[in-house]
Amino acid sequence: MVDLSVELTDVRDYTVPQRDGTFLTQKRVTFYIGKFGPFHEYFPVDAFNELAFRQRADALKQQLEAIHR
Amino acid sequence: MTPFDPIALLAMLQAFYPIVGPAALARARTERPDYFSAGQIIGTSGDKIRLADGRIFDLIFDTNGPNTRWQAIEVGTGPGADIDDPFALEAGPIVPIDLSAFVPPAARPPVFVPLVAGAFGELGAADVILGNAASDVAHNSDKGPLLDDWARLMDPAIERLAAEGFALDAADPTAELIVLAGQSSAADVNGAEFGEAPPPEI
Repeated sequence: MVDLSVELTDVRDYTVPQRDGTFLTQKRVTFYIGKFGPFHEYFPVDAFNELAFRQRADALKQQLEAIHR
Repeated sequence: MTPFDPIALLAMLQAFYPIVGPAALARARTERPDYFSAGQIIGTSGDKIRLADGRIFDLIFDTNGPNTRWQAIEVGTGPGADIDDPFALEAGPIVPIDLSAFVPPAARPPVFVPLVAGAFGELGAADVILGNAASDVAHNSDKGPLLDDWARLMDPAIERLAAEGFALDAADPTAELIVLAGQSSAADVNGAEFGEAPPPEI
């Protein structure tokens, strides 16, 4: 059984300038799943919550399970 | 630059890019550049990436074919590793330590083994003495004299003690009790006149 525990290591705002002169700010989340990673996922600032993060982490965990099956 | 984990990259591609192909790979490279660790997409079909250290990973199996799927297989270092690096590091003054230069110290002559051997030799003579003492004890362990002394000294005393016990049991104190019943238990201070002469006058 492969270890798929999620370890959150960093959450920070990540701002990049757009070509139209505006700025796009996102939440940049860095985490590990077991020994795999780091994983880097970006979320809209107003849509970042625990459920959204867990959905992406679960999707990655399912693929890791399939890879090691 | 973030560390490169091909398993994490493969899991990400399978989870979020169900349509497999060079276009999806390019899109993933743009949307999630951290997973690629600054690797550049190469290949005639755009199905491989080359990392900064020269390693090349093939990310699409059977590109544009019927069995296409994501994969992450290292296929070598490619020609990129042979390119002259304009920022190559010079050889530094620090070199690995030559461990063969350290000669192990010569083995010391044994110290405790001769001491222990000598002590055991001396104890061997003591074993003979202990063996003789043990044989003497075994030889003189006859209890006959002790039993003879017991029969001579203790048995008559035990018989005499028992005879005195029987005599005490058989004694009848009735006569002594009758005599005692006729006697007063207190002294009579008025039984006779005071007959002593008075003391002389001083």
